[in-house]
Amino acid sequence: MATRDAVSDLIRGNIDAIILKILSGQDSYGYEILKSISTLSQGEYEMKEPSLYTSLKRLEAQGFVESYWGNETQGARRKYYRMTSDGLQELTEATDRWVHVRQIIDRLLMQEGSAR
Amino acid sequence: MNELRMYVEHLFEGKVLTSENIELKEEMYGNLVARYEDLLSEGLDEAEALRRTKASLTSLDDVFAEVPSDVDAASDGGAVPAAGVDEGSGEAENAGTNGDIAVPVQTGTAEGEDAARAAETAGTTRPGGPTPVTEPTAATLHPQPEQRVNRRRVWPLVLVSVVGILIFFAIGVMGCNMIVGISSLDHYTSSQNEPIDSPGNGADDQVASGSGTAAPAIPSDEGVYVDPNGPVYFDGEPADELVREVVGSSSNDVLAQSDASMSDVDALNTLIFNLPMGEWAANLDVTRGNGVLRFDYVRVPDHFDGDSIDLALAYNATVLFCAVPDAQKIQVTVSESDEVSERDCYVFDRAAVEEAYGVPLDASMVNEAGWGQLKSDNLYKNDFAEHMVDRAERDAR
Repeated sequence: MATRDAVSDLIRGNIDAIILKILSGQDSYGYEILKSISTLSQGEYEMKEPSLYTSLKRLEAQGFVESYWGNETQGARRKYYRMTSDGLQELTEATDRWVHVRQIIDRLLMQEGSAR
Repeated sequence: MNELRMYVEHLFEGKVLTSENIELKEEMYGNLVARYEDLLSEGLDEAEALRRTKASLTSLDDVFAEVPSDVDAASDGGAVPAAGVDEGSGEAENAGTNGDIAVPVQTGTAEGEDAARAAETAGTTRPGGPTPVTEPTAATLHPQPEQRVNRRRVWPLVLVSVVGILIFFAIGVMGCNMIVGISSLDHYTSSQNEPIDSPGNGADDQVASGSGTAAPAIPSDEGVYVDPNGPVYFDGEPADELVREVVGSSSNDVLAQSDASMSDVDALNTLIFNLPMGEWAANLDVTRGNGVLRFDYVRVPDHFDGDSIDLALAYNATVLFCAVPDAQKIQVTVSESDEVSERDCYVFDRAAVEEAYGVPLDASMVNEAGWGQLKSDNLYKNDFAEHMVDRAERDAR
């Protein structure tokens, strides 16, 4: 359990970028985003609904996403999110950041001698 | 799906209904419904699907406690990168992480304009870790928008009220569209206060591009007012769920059961369950004779306004008289969730109700035009429903 939490924490630090990545493919709404995250992570990571709203709110406030209401003719209406050009830039930068940090951590945690 | 609607309402109990919250509520409802339907499609039975759907969102605490969760995420995530800061000094990325942590701390004092600079300072003067040789642009890139969010939170009173008022009409009740049949909207409003002619209100984009432009109607402060853009007001206030259910309930919901026989219990039950407050309806009794149709509303959530309940009762009685030609009297009791043993009793009399409307209530009314006439011209008017219900109220037995 502790391992899982630690993993979740590491992922959570990048969750905004992950959501941007999903929205870079197509506009999506909350539950679909959660589903995508679950599917893309092959079930390894389930984002919780409250975190989703927090994250989307943050992304919207930063101008990285915009929202609009879907025009479902029946049933509940869905709020869709689309990525802005600022969002795309942030996604690019965040991805670079991640790759960079990953290299550093790899270097640090798997130093010669201790790495197997 | 009403149960999920109620569930969301319940989650928001005690929350101030800012436009932001109203919109969030609609969004959550949409997502819960999507989850529920998805679970059903996976083969779960309804009870289990409902249970899991509710379990996915049990509280709004985490949603509203944004700052703590940010700090959380940053400090949790920071545990490992922090090692990077120590050794790999001068990495812009890590500096960015520093900024993330420092900004919320700094916010209290950094109310000035130089948010970016403040964030920079925070990043470079952070006690503890060695100071990374940061490139300012990289360091502030990320924190800056965060700062903006936080600053907004620092002025809640001014901004929330101004922004709230501005975007209220544009956004706030967009969600109501989901309840209000679009086709029926125009109709309902036709005889209301001057409908606001707002061409080119691309409603969808209004939300995204923000606010001020959707000229708000000044809602009537009496009775029900349905804004053409979707919002519903009741006595000048944004309408609660019950009122919006009444507004959203169309003649189509009744059509299949119009001309229902008093002996067709299934049809009557369907009819009653499909009406506003239907989820609390119980104990239908048609055995009393003399055209008496009797049932109870049990444990209606006590957070509903009494006037909203009156409106729903008046509407329901009207519908039942229209759809059930043999019904002469409709006896209803209402108990609320906080006072289950205390029941209000009402007896709606067909003649009295028809007199109030000035038209016979029968299946010929069950169409869009008829509904518009009943609702817009009568039911939505100030005090109409209240008078009707007052007249029907009996001493509890």
